[in-house]
Amino acid sequence: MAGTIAADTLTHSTAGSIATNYVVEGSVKSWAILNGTGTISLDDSLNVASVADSGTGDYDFTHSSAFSSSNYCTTTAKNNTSSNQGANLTLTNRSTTVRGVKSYENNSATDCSQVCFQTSGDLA
Amino acid sequence: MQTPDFKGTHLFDRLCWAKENLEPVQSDYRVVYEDSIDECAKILVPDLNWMACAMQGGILPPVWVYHELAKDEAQPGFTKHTRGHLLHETEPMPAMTEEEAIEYLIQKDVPQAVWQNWDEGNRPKMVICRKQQLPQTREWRNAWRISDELAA
Repeated sequence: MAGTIAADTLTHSTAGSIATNYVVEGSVKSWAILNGTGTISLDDSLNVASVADSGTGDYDFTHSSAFSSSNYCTTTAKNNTSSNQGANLTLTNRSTTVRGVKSYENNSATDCSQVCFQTSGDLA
Repeated sequence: MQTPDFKGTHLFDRLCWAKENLEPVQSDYRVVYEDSIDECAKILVPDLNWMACAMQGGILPPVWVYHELAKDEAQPGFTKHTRGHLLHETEPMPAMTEEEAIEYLIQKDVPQAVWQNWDEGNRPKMVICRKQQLPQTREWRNAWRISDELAA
């Protein structure tokens, strides 16, 4: 591709050096911002093909570029719609192309207006 | 904008190019499907950047590539993909219409048991509709099924 720089190491004038595989392997390979209320929709994303609204607070994101294995790491965040009590996001389905996220408040599944996730790992 | 010749380019790099260069496409199409008798209907929502890729052409691999990878992943003892190169080295799909893109997405992201037999049985297991045809509130979301009205 045009504009390619091939390098194994990046060196800063004072801070030292870092191997570029830290950058390549450590960067986020997939992310999305979802509006999970009403007829849900994605606000923006990278490497996401679709999201399935699988029930209350239950969302399954599908990747375009598959991960090499299901050993990847997803971090999530959400805003709380009705309560800060018992509010959390849990990770559900996981395959090389699908990552499920479920939102809870008051220890019950709850839709929320903003769900964010990002995933790091090796792509296939 | 002309898509660069991406055959052999890693799919992730193509997606990054698309993110920088293409206008997102928010589709009004939704796919409602039931893949388990014990669960509520699910609604597939296409991603806006993915739709842009599909309609641009020259970026996404053919859908059979995903089916091949899914077969590998279903094998007992699967740990890691060894045929990921199919995603990057197979000739990319040409530009699709919005409707063709939805058909592709169904074959990619809806379980095969649903889309291969969607109209067998007493009632359809899958319906393509417009966003406006779905309930606008999420009341009783976990009890939603495909209605006769939607299936008609």
